[in-house]
Amino acid sequence: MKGIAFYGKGGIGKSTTISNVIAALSMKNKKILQIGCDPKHDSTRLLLGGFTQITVLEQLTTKGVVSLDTVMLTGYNQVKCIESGGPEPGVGCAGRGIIQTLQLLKDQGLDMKQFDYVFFDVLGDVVCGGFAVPMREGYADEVYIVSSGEIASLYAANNIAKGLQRFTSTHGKLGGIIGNLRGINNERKILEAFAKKIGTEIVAFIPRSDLLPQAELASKTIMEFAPNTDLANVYLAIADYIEHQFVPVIPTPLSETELEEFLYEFCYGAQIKEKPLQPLQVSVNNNQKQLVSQNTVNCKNGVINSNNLKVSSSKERVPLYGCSLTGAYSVVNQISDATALMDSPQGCAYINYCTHQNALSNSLDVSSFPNLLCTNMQASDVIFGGTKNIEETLIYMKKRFPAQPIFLITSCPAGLIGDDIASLISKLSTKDQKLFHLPSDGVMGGDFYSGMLAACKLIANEFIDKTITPTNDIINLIGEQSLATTADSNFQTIKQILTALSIKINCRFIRQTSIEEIKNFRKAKVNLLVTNGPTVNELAVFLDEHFGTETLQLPLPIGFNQTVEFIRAIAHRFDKVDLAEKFIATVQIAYKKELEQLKPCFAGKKVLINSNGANVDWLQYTLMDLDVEVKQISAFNIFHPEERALPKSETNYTADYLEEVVRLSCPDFILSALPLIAAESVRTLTATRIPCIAFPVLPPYGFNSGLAYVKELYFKLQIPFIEGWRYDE
Amino acid sequence: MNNFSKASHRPDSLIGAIAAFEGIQESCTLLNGPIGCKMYPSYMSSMLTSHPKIVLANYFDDFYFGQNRVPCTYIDQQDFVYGSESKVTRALKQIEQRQHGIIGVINHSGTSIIGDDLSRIIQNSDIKTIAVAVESTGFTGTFASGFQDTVIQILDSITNKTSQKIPMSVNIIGSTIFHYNWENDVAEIKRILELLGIETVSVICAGESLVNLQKAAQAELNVVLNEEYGDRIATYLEAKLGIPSVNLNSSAPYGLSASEIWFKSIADFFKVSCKPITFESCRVRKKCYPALTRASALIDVLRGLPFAIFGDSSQVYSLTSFFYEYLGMLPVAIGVKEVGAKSFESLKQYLAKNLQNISLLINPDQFELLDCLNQTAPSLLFGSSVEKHVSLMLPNPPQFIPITFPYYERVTLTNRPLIGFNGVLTIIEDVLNAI
Repeated sequence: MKGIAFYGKGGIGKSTTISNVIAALSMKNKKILQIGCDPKHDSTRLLLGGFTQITVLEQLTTKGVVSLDTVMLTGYNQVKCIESGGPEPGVGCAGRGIIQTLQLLKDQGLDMKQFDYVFFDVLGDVVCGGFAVPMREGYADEVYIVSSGEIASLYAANNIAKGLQRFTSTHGKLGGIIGNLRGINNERKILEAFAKKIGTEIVAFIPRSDLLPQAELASKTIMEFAPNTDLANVYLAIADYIEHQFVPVIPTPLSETELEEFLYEFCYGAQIKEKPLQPLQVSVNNNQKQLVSQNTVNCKNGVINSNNLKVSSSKERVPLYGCSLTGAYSVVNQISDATALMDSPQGCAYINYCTHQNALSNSLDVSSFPNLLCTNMQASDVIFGGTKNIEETLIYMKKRFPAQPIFLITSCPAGLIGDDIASLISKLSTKDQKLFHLPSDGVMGGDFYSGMLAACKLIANEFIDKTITPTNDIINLIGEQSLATTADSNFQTIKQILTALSIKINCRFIRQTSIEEIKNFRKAKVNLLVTNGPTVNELAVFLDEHFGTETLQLPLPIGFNQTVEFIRAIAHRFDKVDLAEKFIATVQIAYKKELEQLKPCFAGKKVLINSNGANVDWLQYTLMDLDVEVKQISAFNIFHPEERALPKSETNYTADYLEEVVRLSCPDFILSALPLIAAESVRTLTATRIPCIAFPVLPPYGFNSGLAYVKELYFKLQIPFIEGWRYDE
Repeated sequence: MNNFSKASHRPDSLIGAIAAFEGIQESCTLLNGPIGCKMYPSYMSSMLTSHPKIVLANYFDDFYFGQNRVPCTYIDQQDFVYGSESKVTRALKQIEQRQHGIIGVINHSGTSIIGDDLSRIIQNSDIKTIAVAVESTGFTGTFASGFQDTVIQILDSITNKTSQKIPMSVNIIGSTIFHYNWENDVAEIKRILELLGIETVSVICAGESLVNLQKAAQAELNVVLNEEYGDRIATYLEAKLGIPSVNLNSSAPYGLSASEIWFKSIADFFKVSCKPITFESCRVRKKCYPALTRASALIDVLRGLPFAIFGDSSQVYSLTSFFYEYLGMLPVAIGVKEVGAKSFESLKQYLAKNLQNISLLINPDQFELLDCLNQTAPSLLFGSSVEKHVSLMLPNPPQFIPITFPYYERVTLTNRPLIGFNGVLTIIEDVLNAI
């Protein structure tokens, strides 16, 4: 069996050429299979006498299964014919369709070895992974490019050669170029020169002929319609070439500059006298390429322009933690009277379900579960477009959850196939029940924080009532992290502080809230940032700019000193200074008492603090209150440094450096956010018996967070240096 | 059959494919996908398997991101446009330095669309380790189908037909490391097989070593634990290696009757005495009887106790009949997750014959689940973490007993299988303690 693929620009005449070549070969009593790999599925039409056969993908979609008896028809001279089929223009992913077709045929037991030749007729305009499948090992042994001398056709031919070069491992596959002449000046010369440039040769020139459209009208190949003509002889010659004269080569495709120069010399040069100005070049540097730069938001009809999502992936090319789908859902999940639909495979939804279920199980509010359903995207949705599935699911959800807003969040595959979801949302959204599209597109929309920010902005724009007048002594909380295990206890601490100052909480934007609370966001004039990092800062700026609020950016109330600072700043803004000082004074007495009790245990000790990049002021101040000497604060800079406030001292530690610091400073103990790593890195620890104790990366808020930790630390330091079980490695 | 399941809480074929590779002791699974897709399976794999000692500090480099299992190529938008070849190649070379026995490379849903040719990339990377490419796991396939497809690919790469058979030996098929309590269950099966004088050559891709997997061809028989996770693997092995199978038609060995039938079919195949099976059954019955008598002495609490059960069809079929016939409990709601064609049909027939008014759900979403539990008000709930958490929404949540995955909320170190004869003791113990 010999596998042969014909590639070429759409409309160049591949199907006509391949059908005629096959017809010519079939006259030599060869057993042949033709597989049309073009979504417009007219490849085999001439061999089937004009009959339009059912395609593999069409049968899969309509029947759910593929039967070889139905999709493989017998045409002219016993040639077997199969059409892959594919989506309508503008939807789905035709390349994926080819991948699936070839897999389905294999699964159905199609034995290609029974044929002398298997021909693949493939579109060559886009040589993406799917369209390149026939080039791969196991399919085509030889590839022929059908091209005219037109510029667009040569561009496509060069791209095909590039793809072919990539998929050629040890031996060449390019059989040559079949010149399908269109009658332009110097066409043969152009094609010959191009073939030479890419290291191949012209198999034959197919002249322009009135016979071709006549045969097309009669739904016949030239071999059948006009067998004893010069044109028929050309196809016979190509068939003969394929059968006997094949000289495989690895192509040497032209670079963009070389192709431009070639076209200038052979094509442009014939039409214009001067070389055109260099077109505007867009630098495509893998490390610097910036695809998205807008920051403004357009939320009309609930649709954020996907360009507005912060795409740190393309900007910085740093690894993206989480994905924007999860970030967006982490926001929607916190609205009690909203529902989310993920347009994704079930696996994406499953991972999110588990993540949020675990977060909810840590929450004080156990009486809730992930408000999430999934389109459970199928392969057919990817190939043909998934709008039908999405529409059905949304209609189902509208009935199920009447009057609740529904947020449609998209995954990577959804982003790749590019369904027109905006139109669908617009169609199904009603006055009583609004639907919204969060075009996160999985990781293509950026990391977790990108999705979170985009969702918050959309929800703010859609729901916050701008006509509401602010009232006094009421505040919004901004930036609570929905997946943080400490979020609930931190909220209780902040609530307690605000209550002591006679300030009420209006809206938690966005955690454990409702549409009604979000609508009333502007009842509060002041917002309080309760976490830090660039994402929540950007959200605060956005809310202030768009809704006229004022956000207080205070240090997080972790440990005694920061909590005091936090309270005083709020009190100052709300003119509650006296209340605040009374409150602080009461707490301070108890704090100092406990501190004095612990001091004898810690005073004079030396410590190293090894963070993962998070702020450790709370720990440092508490230790200093206990007269502990903090020799150095360091950080293994491994997680998202941009999302955390770095400590003042050394960052980007290496294990060797930490070991050196330990040797020089001789600490009594090391406190580390990553104790296992620190201990493994400091190889001398076992010898010097310096305990390495963990401290929380996300410590709880409040006056006593430092004190509470130090109490635990006291007990941990009483334990033998190595617990017994550790010897059982 | 509910064809409109939009449930979001089922693991899919991608997770199933990962489970297949992670079920080999010396494996490394490289996910050609984003970090977000790798965190969960990586966490689960490191929780559920006893991999050799790891030094976490060695896993903060590219591809691992602080987790020792399931590295990934941290795909981003640019990779979707330009392909992921360079990252996959770099990852393969780095992974090879860790000296794994086999590397599985799996495209996630997005990278399977762009059609990166993993097989060619592996070939061009010049690595010496055995590497198996999974170009696509489908988009929304079931966990079981993803597992079986991948296992078949793995076996295709590492096994060859042999005439050197190990007498009286079997391969165990149809468990995964993601199954709740899998290690104890496998140990129980091996224990009873040993009582019958039968050696286990290989537990296919469920905590097994590569060497033993390669020896799978030497087994005389394949035994299938759960139809959903083993039927196609067994068929494949029969076709490729000529190893016949038993237990493709029966339910999984949960409960007394199902265990007796399951092990008896193996004993019959090898023409060995069934006495150890009878002995085990009697032992368990004798141990349970006094406890059940005490529990039923005053208010006959077990009889008619309404319960709901959610699991895979082969498991649900066995356990439902055990609870109904042996313990006298009444099923009020049944949910099937993975559907095995034969066991599901058996379940339906059983219900039609004995319990016609039962609520039978197929892959319900969490809202349907809540409605069902609300309406049926079971006192006992058998299922996974999903059902447990949904049941917490009820005013009076039922007592929960884990039997299926995803359930990872409790560490089990004691020998408490759910399957086989000792499994009966575990289940009855759990039931009696719950009521």
